Amino acid sequence: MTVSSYKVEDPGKLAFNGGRPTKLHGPERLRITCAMEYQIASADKRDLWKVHTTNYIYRLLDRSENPIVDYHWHPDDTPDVPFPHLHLRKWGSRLHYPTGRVLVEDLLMLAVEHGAEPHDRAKWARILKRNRENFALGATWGVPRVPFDPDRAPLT
Amino acid sequence: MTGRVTLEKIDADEQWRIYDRACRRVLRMSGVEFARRWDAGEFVGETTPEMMEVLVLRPRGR
Repeated sequence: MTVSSYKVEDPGKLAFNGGRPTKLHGPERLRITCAMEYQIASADKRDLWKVHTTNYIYRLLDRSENPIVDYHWHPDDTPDVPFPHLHLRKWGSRLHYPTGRVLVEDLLMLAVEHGAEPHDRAKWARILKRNRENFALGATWGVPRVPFDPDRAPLT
Repeated sequence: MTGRVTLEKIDADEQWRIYDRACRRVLRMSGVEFARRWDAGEFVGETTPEMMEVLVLRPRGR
């Protein structure tokens, strides 16, 4: 994973695998891509910092790297489409279907539903729960309305 | 096989290389050409998911 900046207020870029598809474990041999922009800001007077996501592109691809679904949010680059949305790429659609805020964890959960296999499902469930709880602590928007229950996640 | 996730800080030139490589792979054009055409407004109202896929990698200000 690469990041381009740790400077406060300096827009940074984050990408998995140099922007290339990353293979996931499992018989479906799915791929994902994850890239986002962020901005580091001072959170309060205790010298704490907060990282704001300012856009994201998450993609789920099949074993041949054909897109299945894209999750996008890029309000600065497309003011006419300021909301988070998805593209149903597998079905050839370029329409913008509105979504709530989507996390990397959501993309991975979808990948698991499509056949990706966590190496350690118990650990995966713990990390998923912890990450969602941490996100809910600091997120300024897009926080899940109900507590996340890993027992109801599509793990089995 | 499990892979450890590593975090690497890269400079603007390396970020540009990532962007340029994505442009060539996804859009079949160089990063310079896409940036020029995007900045000229050539794609206003005609953006595609593929364009956004590479634009997110473009270093700001370049």
